Amino acid sequence: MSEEIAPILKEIKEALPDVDENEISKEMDRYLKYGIVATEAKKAIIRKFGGTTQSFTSVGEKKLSELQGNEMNVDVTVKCLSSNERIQKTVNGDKTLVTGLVADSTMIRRFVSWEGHLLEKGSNYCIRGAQAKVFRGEVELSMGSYTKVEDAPEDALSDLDVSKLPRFGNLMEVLLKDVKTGLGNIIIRGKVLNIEKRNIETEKGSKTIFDGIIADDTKRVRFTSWHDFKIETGDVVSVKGAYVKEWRGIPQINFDDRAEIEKLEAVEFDVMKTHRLLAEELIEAGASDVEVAGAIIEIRDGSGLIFRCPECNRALMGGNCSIHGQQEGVTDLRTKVVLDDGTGALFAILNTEITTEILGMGVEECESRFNGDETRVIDLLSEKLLGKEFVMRGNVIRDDFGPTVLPNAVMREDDEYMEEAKALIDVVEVL
Amino acid sequence: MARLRQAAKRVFASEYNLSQHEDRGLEENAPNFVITPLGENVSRIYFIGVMMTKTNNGTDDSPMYRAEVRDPTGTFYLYAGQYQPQALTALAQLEPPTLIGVVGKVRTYVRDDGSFYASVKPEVVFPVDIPQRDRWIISTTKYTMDRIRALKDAMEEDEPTEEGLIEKGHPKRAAVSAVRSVGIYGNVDVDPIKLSLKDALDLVIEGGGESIGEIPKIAQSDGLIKKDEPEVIAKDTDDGTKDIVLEIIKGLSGDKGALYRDIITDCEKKGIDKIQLEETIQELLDEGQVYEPTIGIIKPV
Repeated sequence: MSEEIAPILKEIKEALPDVDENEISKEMDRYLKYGIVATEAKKAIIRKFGGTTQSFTSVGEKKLSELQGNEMNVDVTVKCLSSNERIQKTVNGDKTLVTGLVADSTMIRRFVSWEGHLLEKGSNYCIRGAQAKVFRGEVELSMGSYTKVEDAPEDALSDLDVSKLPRFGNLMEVLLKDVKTGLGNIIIRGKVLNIEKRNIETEKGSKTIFDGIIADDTKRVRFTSWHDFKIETGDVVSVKGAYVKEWRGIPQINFDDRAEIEKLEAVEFDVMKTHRLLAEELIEAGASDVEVAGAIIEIRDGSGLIFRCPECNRALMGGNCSIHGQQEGVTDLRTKVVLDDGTGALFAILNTEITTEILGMGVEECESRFNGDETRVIDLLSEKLLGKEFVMRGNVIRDDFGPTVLPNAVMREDDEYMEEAKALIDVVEVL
Repeated sequence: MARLRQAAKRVFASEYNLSQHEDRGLEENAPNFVITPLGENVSRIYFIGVMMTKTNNGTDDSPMYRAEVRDPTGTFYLYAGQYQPQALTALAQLEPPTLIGVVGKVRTYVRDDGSFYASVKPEVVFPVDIPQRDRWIISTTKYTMDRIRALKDAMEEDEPTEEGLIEKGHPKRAAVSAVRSVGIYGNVDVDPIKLSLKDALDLVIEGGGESIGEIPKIAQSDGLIKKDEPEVIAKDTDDGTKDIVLEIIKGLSGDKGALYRDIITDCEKKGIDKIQLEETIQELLDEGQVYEPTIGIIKPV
């Protein structure tokens, strides 16, 4: 009997405790002979002998922290902390996949349902007949067609205080350049470049939070501390138990009173450097305070002299604001371009100041010089920008249309290149 | 999620023109890729070169430009029609020889004998200066070198993988190209492309980065173009055309004369467009060689 079959036979035996082992093996051989894969044969055999796949011996009620990742049939009582639905393409067509986090008094774990179990955030459930699996090093709860979900008795989780539980996920140390949205429980180290106190309104009333920028040798990242750790500008800290959320497609570090903050002495980071990224590194997620370089290869519609809604500052389309209807527009200048470095395309929106600098004239001079002929402004922008290489510094947001650079500085790339050309010839020779 | 804009790949003509494969996406509106011998998948391309020739294969009202643009390694062939308005407007105003930057989509043509040709549908065309060209040459050289290095390593292995090549220090994009190339082309002779890189860099060094001075200006608005352009560029007034048109009219004329629309059809076959024909007929009428008994009918005298 091959090694792959043995564990499957064991599962069948568990499901059919009253059936003779040899008989099960013989059945399995017959299915295999017809080219049926073992996992499919398993279901058929169990059904044939009157069992159900549910009859995998239940290990009964467990706490989330007790799960090993090999339980086939387990019951848990949990609170749903988050629940997200998405469509997953599979070989059998599109399936609705529900994933999220659940917690009991011991810990937080991820759950996944392939059968559209819609757990509602904040509700308590008894989940019966779930499977515990190991996925990417973490034990997670998997819910299949045989899993039953019921509302939990009211007092079932009275001892649960989610805010006291450790964050979801294995604690791991990451460099700031590797901070990605969705990471749950990370250690980061860096120098706080600035930190500001801010009051916000939450469901539970007013709260004081601390916003700032932290940097290591690899990147600068915005952070929000939901607790006063008395961090000051210039501190070098390690944050244990941070998590990552995104804002306009840019990953941002968050941490609250569950995190452990340690001030580090005698550790320095090179934080002055603005890190230059390739466009291909910004396709998945944006970044704050970075540098990109490439050629401007297209001036996009909506550039040059535009009219803005006096109410909300949105650009008017044919004299209409999408919110406030027809408006007497306020004239403004901006430039929307495509910056491309050969590895990817970035949209960039150059603000009034940068556009004014490029044109060598502001809104009023533009209006009088070109007498309302907007295409001549575009011609001038094209002449100044197309095919020229620029370095842009600022935030790169990421939305459905891709990454967009919102630069606060735009510079011509005009380094001397003759030496580089000569050096490259030598490299080509030995290629 | 909207489909993301494709990068404008930096590829020399020497590599692009050796392409023998394409990848047409199965999904609706999926981008079409030309796969170069070094494995780069090109949907959009950006290059700089000298526009050597420009011909309008359409009409004045609905132009269709064909242009040849030479970079230091070979020639790119451009075809711009009504769906590339920006490129058309620019091409209309630029006269060869002139140094231009071209951003375009790949265009492919497979002849009956199976031979494969990759050309370019320009989206954006603009005049450029020598330093811009030099910078393009340098960055294109670097990307091409990355591809050559990764492909050479890949060809030494029995079953090259992206992971294996990345581990050897190749950038991910070059590793992906190399594995793709091996899968599609098998063994590739990289030497011609390698030699062309040297030609490209020599051009940068010989030119010394000197600017060519004033570069042409382009106006995007149609009104301006019509004003700036000479009314009709080169009136073909030689008697050859007149004789051909007269022959055609005589051939088509029965007792009642020739239908104007038949004359148009036959003239187009001879490469004489409507505007040219109209002018020629006017000349023939003026000279008294033909007359117009009723509107739409031309009859030889």
